[in-house]
Amino acid sequence: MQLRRTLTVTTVGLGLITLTACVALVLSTTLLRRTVDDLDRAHAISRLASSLAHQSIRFELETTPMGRSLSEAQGRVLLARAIDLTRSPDERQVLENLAPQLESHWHSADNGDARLPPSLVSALIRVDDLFAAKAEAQSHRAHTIDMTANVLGVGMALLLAAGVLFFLWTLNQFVFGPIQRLASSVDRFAAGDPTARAPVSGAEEIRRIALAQNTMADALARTREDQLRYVATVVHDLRNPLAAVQLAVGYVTPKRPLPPEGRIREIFAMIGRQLRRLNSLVGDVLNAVQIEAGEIVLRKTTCDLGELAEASVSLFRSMSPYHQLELSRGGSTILLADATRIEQVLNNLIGNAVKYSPQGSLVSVTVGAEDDQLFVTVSDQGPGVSPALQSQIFRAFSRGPSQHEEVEGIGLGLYVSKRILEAHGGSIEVSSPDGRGATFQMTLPRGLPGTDAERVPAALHSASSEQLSSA
Amino acid sequence: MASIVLIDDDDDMRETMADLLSIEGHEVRTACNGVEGLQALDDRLPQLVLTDLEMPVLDGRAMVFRMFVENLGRENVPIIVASGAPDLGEIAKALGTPYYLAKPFPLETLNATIDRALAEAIPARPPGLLG
Repeated sequence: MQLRRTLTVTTVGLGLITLTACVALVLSTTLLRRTVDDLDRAHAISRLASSLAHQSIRFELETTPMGRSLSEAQGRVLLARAIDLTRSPDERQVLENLAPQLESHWHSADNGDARLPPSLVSALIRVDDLFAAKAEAQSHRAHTIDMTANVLGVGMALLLAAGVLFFLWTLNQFVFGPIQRLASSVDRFAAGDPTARAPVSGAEEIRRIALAQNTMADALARTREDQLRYVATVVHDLRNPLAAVQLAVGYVTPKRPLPPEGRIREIFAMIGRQLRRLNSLVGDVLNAVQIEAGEIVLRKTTCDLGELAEASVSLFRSMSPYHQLELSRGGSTILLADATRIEQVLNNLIGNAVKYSPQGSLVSVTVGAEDDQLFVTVSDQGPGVSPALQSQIFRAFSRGPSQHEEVEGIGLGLYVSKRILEAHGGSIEVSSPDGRGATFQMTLPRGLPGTDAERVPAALHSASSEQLSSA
Repeated sequence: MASIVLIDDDDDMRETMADLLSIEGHEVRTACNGVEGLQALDDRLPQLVLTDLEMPVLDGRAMVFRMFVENLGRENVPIIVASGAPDLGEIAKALGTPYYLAKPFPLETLNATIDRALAEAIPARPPGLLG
């Protein structure tokens, strides 16, 4: 059910009922007024007819010619007034038919016979009766109209009340009720119940809001779950170096002599390694938290992506002598970027490739340029990335379960890398076509004003040093 | 003292633990994943297995199950699981072993747990696999 359609239909329906009631009221009052007019007229004519009868009797009793002519004049006036009041030709005809009889009555007095002829009396009584009956009929009609108008009015009022009640019920059922349930579910969610979901009910529009709210709640719950899992992973990963350091304390006990000096040196070197590892893990977490909070600050200088890649490759060559690391460079790879951050990304990608692939396998790094876009691809011969994992490998705090045992670090590297590249206007993609080996390709815009890469570095030098000095 | 097979993928952790246990007088053989651990058991059965849980190739859980399902005598060796997992107690219960070490742990706890496991020698009995 759509709220808009329902509101439109209800408004139009109630409006039509009201309009009909108004028209009926106007019509009935007009009709009633006409009927009352007719009633008055018929009544007046009837009264005039009766006056005419009285006048005719008085005429008969008049003894003087003066009195008779006065009475005759009164009679004429009464008849003229009665004829004036008629509306239809029939009524007029009835009254005009009286005129000759009255005339002959008035003239008969001139002949000395002023007696009232019985035919005139009965004609006058007939006229009186006729109009009295008409008045009676109009009165009856007026009563009928009144009754009909009353019934109609009460009916319309009931219909209108029912319409309004139905409208309120509909609003409550499909609007206010669902909104209240929606609000209470939002309140419960806000109060910390992650399972609170809005019931999808009511009008179409409110169902859409409820669905959107539920989608948002799902996303938040998923993020919360991710974060809780992430915290558990962080705790777990921090405990490994801690365990080695804690155990090393066991070398120095009151019960036993100290180990020989050479062994002590080894133990302290180990403690140093594990503390560096702890520090690097803590740094990873801080890095991710800062980036998540949007606090990524880039200190851009002109640098050579090829040289950065070369530095990273040589670092891993020394750290992992059993892997074959190959680097190929082509074209001008100078760009404006935060060299430290980009190095962090390269170390992450190359480090992952080394970590994931078996010893003795090839890790190849290619740096190149296409127009204003620079790219680095890192390919390994490891187990590859499953299509399911490819979609979430760059998400924060997510590390695929299959990798869990094999990867050191806390699954933030690719997320951090992606955010750093995005801050530079670049991007990163993973492909693992046949499930054997993975290729990560990062793309960066040159970011230099103008296309002539050779000339621009000098022009930008002052800008970047200004930026550094102001920082 | 006792012969122990120690399995942990972290070089520093494994070597430190092995060194300290040797100083205590135990005979320690090491492995850095479940597969190597099972090989060490095949060579000669120890009196105790001390294993990490998260390891590449074959993790501690899978290794414990393998020890149990193949009826080679390995199922009677008591097992201590050592890990930084937050729910280690639950994991140990799921593996059917009463012995576990939550990382980080001091040397005294390591020695006390090993002594208890050697004295009681209760083998792991993964509940899902009991007939």
